[in-house]
Amino acid sequence: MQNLLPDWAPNAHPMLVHFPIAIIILAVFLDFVYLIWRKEWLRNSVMTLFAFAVLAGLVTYLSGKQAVDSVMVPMNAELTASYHADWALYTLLYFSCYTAIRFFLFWKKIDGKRFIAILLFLAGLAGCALLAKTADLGGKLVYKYGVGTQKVK
Amino acid sequence: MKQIVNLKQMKTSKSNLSAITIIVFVLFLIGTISSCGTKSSTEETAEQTHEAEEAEGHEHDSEEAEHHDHDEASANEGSGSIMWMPSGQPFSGQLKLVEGDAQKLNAETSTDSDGTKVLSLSLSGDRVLLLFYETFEDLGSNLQFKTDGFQGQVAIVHHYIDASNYDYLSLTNTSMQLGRKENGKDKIFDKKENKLPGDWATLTVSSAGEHYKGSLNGKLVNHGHGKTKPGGRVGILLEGNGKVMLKMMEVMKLTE
Repeated sequence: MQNLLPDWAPNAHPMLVHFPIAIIILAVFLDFVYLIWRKEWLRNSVMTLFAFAVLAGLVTYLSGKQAVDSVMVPMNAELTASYHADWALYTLLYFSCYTAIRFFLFWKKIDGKRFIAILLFLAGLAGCALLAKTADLGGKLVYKYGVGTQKVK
Repeated sequence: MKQIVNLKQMKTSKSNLSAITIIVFVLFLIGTISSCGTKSSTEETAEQTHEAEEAEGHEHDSEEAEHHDHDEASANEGSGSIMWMPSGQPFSGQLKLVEGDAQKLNAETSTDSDGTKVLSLSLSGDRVLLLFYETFEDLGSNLQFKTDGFQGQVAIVHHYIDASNYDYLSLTNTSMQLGRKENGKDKIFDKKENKLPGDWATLTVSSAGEHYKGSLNGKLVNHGHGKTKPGGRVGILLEGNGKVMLKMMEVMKLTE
């Protein structure tokens, strides 16, 4: 795996981390569009995107677990690293449960009902808040404490 | 006629729901932008002041290191960090001998080749516990030590409540491990093969939330997980036979 990475990359985590963020935001946005514009292809797309988001989230979480022991974490960044790992796990668990419930409703073809669709959208939006907290802590690790970066020579 | 009225009511409720979702979405966007956006000037000023204080703290620490004849340990209340270096009188500073016989230990202070003072302790199967008075919750700690023909364990203890309840990072001639003593029972968070180094070495432990890490000479050896605990005291635990030399110990309060 390490051989596939460019020399400047400390590990796979910084490359993978943007995928779940982008996919989840897109899924929630399309879910919102679906509330207004009731098209079947939108409903299918949202379900597919959430499934991919969980997969991408799992891979990213595992890469993060591997990354934290391979990079130098300054002592004053340890607590931020700890919170980042915890919030990442909460986010992953949340979207895993959310996607499972969503898939069940999709399979039973009741996810399109107005009230359920709004609830699903709001739950997705709440998940975005967890995602934002995780991403904020991750950004802090890199841009405040310089974790995973190298000094300019 | 009734059907037309019902249809109109349904349409009205649908448009109300759409309006609510739009409002929620817009509020969420505003919330996200304001929380993740540019920091307020107050926050920036506070952070700059904190950084300046930290820099002053470090300067203060190095000054203390140079003039530690007067006091064995320096405590920086503002940043929540403590640094200990030996002085002329063993166990007279903030790092107190809690377990062990001071006379049997044959404690003496000498000066190392680099000019720093060293506290030497000779153990003969004893258990020695040195603790700071202050308590810490999330913490990082460094211990600079050296052993000479020592057989036993050198450990940093933290979240120390009593002899049966504390967390530790210990290094022996066979392994390095992170663990917890809970009501006298030992629970190992992580254990790796390792040995006591022959020269001066730095043992580092961090306890951040549920994550515990142990490093030797800056190299991460252990990473374990355990439930968070309320704050406790921090110190050094020595157990075994032989000579142990201590040069420096520092404890830092970790903040986000």
